[in-house]
Amino acid sequence: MLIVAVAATLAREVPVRTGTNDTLATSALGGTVGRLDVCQDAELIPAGTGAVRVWLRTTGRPGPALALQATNGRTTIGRGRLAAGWSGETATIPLRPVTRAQREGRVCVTVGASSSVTLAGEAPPDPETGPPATASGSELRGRLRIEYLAPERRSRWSQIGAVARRIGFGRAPGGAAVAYAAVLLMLAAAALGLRQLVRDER
Amino acid sequence: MSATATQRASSGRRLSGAVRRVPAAAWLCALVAVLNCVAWSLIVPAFQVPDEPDHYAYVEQLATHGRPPANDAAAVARFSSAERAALIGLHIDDVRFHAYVPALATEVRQDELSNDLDAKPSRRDGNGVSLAGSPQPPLYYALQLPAYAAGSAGSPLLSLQLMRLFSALLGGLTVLCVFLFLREALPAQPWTWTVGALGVAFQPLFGFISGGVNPDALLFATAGALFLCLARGFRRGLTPPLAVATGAAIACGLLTKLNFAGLVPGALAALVVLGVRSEGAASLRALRLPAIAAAVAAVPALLMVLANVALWGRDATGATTGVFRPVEGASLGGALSYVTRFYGGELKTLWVRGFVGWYGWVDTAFPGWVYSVGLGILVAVAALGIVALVRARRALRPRLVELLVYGTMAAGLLAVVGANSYNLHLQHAGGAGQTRYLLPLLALYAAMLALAARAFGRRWMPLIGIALVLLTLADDVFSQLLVIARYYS
Repeated sequence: MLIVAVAATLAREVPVRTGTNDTLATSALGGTVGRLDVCQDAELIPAGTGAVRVWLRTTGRPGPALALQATNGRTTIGRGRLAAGWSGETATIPLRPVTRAQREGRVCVTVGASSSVTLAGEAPPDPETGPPATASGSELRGRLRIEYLAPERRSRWSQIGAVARRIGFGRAPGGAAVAYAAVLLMLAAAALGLRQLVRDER
Repeated sequence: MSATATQRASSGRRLSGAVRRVPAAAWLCALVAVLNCVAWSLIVPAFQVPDEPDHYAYVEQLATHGRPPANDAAAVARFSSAERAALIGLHIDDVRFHAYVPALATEVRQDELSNDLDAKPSRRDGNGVSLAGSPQPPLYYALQLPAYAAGSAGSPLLSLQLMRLFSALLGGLTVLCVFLFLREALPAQPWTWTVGALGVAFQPLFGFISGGVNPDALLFATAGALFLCLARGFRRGLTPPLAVATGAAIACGLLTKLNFAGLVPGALAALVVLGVRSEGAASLRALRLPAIAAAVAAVPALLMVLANVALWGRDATGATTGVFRPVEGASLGGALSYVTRFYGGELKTLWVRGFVGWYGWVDTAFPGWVYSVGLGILVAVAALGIVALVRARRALRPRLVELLVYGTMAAGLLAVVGANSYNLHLQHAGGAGQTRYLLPLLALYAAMLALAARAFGRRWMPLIGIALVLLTLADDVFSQLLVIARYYS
């Protein structure tokens, strides 16, 4: 049963990040009153991005409709919409077309008339990540946290190789073998423990 | 052969005989714990076990300067350049406390970190001072020195991993002690010793902490050893070697972490009871063996106090520094009211949550329903344990004093942890509630599991016992998946 539960968990499809804007969501940057255009420059949109997750928190009521536009100068990189009714700490807005190459650009989100959304990000912003966001032209006190996602959700199974590679980062000895060693150790621990339990019981 | 050599040979034989008498199942449970802790050490990113940078810095200070860090209020923390480079390269301030920020995720970041560490920044320019580590005694950190040194030719990350492996070995020692404690305390059903010991070996918070660099790993082991010694005394009587062993366990605990002091009053009371029992009357002679144990416990502790004051210029015990510093506005009434709220008011939101699974810098949690299920299971286990105690009440009656001793030790630990948190609450309007502080009571938790398995007699024992171990294993595996998803997806 445990094996089935683990397999089912790994089969669940989850969003896959293509990148982030390296901004923490440690501060409330402000709330929305009525319709609001929030824009942020110096965003690096990774290749293969088909959705944008923005740190907009609903405060109790369902979130309003959102419209997203990513531009580079006068060129539109992509657009997307999210219908009203979302909730939680973040809103994920589809971006079409899916980016083929990494693009630098400006990301704007139009928040529909509402007084129930709080923007979250880092204030004051880390100068290396870019200038503060603006709300209907006025500068906010920090940058909004944004994550870029692949267009489709993928099962955790399909990400095992990438996850194993990341487990090997930032440690010594490193490499994906570290992740596989951990799995083998756990399998050995479980097998030895359960075998002992069953054997002693007889 | 001289008399001393004969004596040494005889105690060596006794020790090797005692080791040979340890059941194979105990070694196997210990091995399972080591494997589990090592797996945790490989899964959790570097420095993402609570206070790990502080504890690493303490060992580094001992290794490079031959003395523990200063622990006075004026001391300002300064990590070595090497540790700082590792922490910056790992973006620790972004990752910890922010569950949506993964650990290093790209080759570019990994290369930046490698380049910074390849430059071999100094390991000697830190001072080891920290809020979490400085007040603590040096035993755990001193035992980590060989592991630190073995990795000193590489980067701090290599030293850290080797130190984590040593902690994992201590995790195995804890489970070995827990198994042997169960053998002494609950001798009737040997199979349940394996149930209790594996319940600890797979306990995910235990694996997480004992897979990191944290003195709690040695604290759990010394507390387990103390419970074992006392249970052996209650079952077989206090002998001179056992008195020495009990004193040594207390000494190691006192030299490991200040929280251990909470277990000492109950342990000393137990020694007096055992002394009186071995003499058959309350007389001065009855205090001989307890006095030996107390002396064995006190001498190293006093030497440490002496070294703190005379050699290292530290506060005598560390008990008046950091979170332990006496604070203006503290009162007994305030403390009692705070401690009641601390344990009662936060049972589910803090203690159960921590026990079922709350990882990283207390920033990685399951969805809320998991804790509701976990609380239900823990309540059921406790109820089964109580059923077993009620069914065995006749056999229990002669052992009430022993139960009282374990209860006193548990209460002592709860009081110390609660008092520390009260102090911290007054200093910083925060609290110090983490379930790991209660894990020195793992032996009692294991006893509860073993009793729960026996609740409905021999017929149901295998079913309940196997279910308990499987539930713990499931919690462990899903905890590891949670941590992997949080840091690496």
